[in-house]
Amino acid sequence: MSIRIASLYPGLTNAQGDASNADVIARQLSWLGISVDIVTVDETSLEIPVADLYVLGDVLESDMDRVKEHFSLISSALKRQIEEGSSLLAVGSAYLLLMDAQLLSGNVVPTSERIVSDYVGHLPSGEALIGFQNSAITYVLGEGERPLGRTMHGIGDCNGTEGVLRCVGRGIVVATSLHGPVAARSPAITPLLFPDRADVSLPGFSLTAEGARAIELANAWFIDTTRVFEGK
Amino acid sequence: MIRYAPVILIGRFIRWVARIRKPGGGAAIPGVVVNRLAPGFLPNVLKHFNQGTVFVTGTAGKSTTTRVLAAVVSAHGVRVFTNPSTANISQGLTSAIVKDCNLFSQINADLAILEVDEGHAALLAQKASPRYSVLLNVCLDQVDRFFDPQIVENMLTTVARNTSGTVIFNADDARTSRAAAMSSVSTSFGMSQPFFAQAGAELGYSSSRSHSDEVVSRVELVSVRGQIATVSIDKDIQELRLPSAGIHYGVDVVAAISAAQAILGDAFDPELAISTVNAIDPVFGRGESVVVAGQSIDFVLIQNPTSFRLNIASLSVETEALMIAIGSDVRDFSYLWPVSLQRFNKIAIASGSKANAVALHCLYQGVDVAVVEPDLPTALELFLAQPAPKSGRKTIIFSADAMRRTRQHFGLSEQREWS
Repeated sequence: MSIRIASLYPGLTNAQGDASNADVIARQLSWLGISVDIVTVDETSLEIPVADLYVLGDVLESDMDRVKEHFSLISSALKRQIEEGSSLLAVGSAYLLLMDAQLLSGNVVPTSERIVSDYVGHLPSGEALIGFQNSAITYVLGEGERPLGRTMHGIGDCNGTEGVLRCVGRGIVVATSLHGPVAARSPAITPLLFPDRADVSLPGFSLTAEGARAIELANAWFIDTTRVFEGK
Repeated sequence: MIRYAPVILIGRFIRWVARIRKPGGGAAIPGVVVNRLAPGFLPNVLKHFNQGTVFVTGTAGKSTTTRVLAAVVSAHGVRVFTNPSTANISQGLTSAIVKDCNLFSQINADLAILEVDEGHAALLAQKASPRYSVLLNVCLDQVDRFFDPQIVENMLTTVARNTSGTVIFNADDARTSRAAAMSSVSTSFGMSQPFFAQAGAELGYSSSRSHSDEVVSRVELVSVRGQIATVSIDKDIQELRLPSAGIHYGVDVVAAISAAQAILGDAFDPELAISTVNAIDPVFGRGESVVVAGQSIDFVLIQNPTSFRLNIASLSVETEALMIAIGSDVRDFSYLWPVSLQRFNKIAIASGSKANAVALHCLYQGVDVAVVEPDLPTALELFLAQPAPKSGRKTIIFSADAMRRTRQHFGLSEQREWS
């Protein structure tokens, strides 16, 4: 069965490769033989399309007001889609939009100093979660929410965890402050976004040569990032 | 200013020691020490050029613009002091001055034309008030340091406010235009309206002028074909040869000509400016060709997503022997991820501390990477050992840190810019 990914505001959220997560996940799914189509939503779109996965990235401060204005028009429909079983991957300052849309129940806390750091942690599955934080906020988990990562190195949300996993109706919201192509660096995130699809799995990616190479390179990047902290 | 003589001597001694310990390196160390011992040294020296100081700043094009501007102004008989492109922050500037000044902190020049990093330019402008400033553009760059282009715009606004004479700004960039509006005197350069409509988006300004804006600058870039550019200087159309192929080099050249016009006033000679530009070699690492072990290798420096994108666009699609080396100066590879490499079928080698990131990026774009070798010296030797390509030339695309290490490995460090 094919999968549709909706990339939200890709023209305004790709400064650090966040919007690329839609293409990354599409490629990963193609290794499993799943056909994918990607649709985009920009600030002129009148409605939000039905999709299996929505991808939302970090919005630069200078663009945030106009994105907020448009997002307020589509956020109720987006929430309905997620309640009916879609997933949402949100990166960086997208937290602020999710809070407004009541897709998260915790709190965003501004930090006294901007967090600019590599990050190494583990997902609930025990697989690697790596990335780079360039953020002026941390997230405090709310009711019914679980952390996305347990911190090994780096700052995360300043409490030993990073990010959030929240079930919203039959759907799931995954949010992280680790910007950029987080699904490429930490490919184990992708199966989390398709909890009802047993065919979407990390071992599944490795069945093709290209997928196996992607996992190998992501593991090498994990080692590189860990070495940054170990000073090697 | 004999009071600075002791720190100048200390700086020179440190430079001597640093060069013995690390040939080709340690250039910034004297500046670090002198700035610590005498924080007023750098602003004081900059205030004492009889024709003033020019700051060339913005995200992209500082080195080329500075080099072209210095050449054009020098050709008009003005004695110019300029800094190497590797020395565009306060400690580097101080190192360059310590090397060339006398014990009275004087440099034998009438005008200082300085490439200055955006962040340092804002701080230094408040202490040294340049007579002229050239505001090139604001693209997405060093996100880990500047976070948002608005922060860079604010820095350029500080530079413009503290410029005592003329601000020369890029009219196609909405952010430099807004910054220049805070100055008392300004003049603009840019692309002609039709050329900007056709190709302006490629330059990656974080906020471009509106297509409907009727902006006519005295110096405009009308077209670029490879290394040949057509420019308009006070409506007189001229052709010239750029230091390297690419629209961005064309914009740098019109920025430099516009600045020279503002600085020289009635003494500015357009014919002399153009003949000077025609004779300029590529700037260190920017479209430069070197010969190593009998092989010609093209060097391409990338400093941000925009220069990565533009430099890739200027390479032939037939470039089959391509090496990409990204070092630890690119702290987070994420911001280079949006740059497409899909015009190439294959990358011969990915290297540097971000080699795995480069290879993963290529893989997700369907571009094959033959060898991933994080150790740069090993990768360079592998690249040299590969047979000559059937088409194109061997080309290395590198970040600044990888460029420095590559030059050092090939014995090319401390080149003409420090001489």
